[in-house]
Amino acid sequence: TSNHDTIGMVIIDANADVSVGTSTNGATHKIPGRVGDAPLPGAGAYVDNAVGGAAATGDGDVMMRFLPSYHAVELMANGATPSEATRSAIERIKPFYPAFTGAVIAADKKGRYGAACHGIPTFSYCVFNNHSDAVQVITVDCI
Amino acid sequence: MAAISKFPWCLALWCSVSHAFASARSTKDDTEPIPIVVTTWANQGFVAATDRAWRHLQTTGDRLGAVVEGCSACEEMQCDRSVGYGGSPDESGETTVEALLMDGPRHRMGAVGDLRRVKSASRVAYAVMNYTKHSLIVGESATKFAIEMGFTEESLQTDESKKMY
Repeated sequence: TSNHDTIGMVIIDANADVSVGTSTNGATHKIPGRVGDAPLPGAGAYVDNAVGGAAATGDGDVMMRFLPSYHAVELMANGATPSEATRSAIERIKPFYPAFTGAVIAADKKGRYGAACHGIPTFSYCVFNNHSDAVQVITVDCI
Repeated sequence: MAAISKFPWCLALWCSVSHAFASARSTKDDTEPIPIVVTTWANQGFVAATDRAWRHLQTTGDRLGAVVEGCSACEEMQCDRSVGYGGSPDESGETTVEALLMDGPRHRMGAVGDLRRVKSASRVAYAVMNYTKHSLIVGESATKFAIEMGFTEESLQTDESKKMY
């Protein structure tokens, strides 16, 4: 496992209201006092109740410079699907930091969801809705 | 079952149920039912955290509480040792934690960064949201805030994290 995984969660309730959250212990051997992307709005996670939510995980020192969660939600506000939006958020980082590792998940008020990733072969994430009575594990190929 | 071999940790009974869909390899851009819970990563703890968030949402209807429960589950299980206590020691060997919560309807937020000697980062972030006008509290001052809110001050080091250091 990589040393900068974070739990990021997007929840949309039956009224189509949205909450997001993250929790992490940061990067191993970080300089004391370092804060990553996880507690930062728009970086670690973001919500727009008219649209949906997104959350990010990975190399927070790099990813926070691009506000990938805000970016993904804003793209969904402009009509992108969750997988298109997360893909664009990851693509924005690549030219500057071709070696970064990270992933973004997103869901919208229609219950659509998606993810995109970079720096690892595939990324797996969890989905739970009424289509099953258990957690669904979804895997995407990274870009 | 091919799906099981992809998850060698998947020995517990519940896993055989929870990975009934493990071969799914896509995103869902078609309309799907809500409510929905989506969580980064899918190792054992993250699956259990997603399950706990879903159950909390189903029983209470409280989506924000469900986010707190799900993230707290990972803190307690030390998901991948990258969430919660006893992982990712810094250059001085200490584990510090951080968490964020955002709630859509009123665009509320609570967060902690560089939180020290308190395990429940998500619940402290929830307290920041509910009991202050602020968004983000950090470092030793966040520890002081948490203690005032009734959280326990304790070392986040474990034998494992000392070894990693």
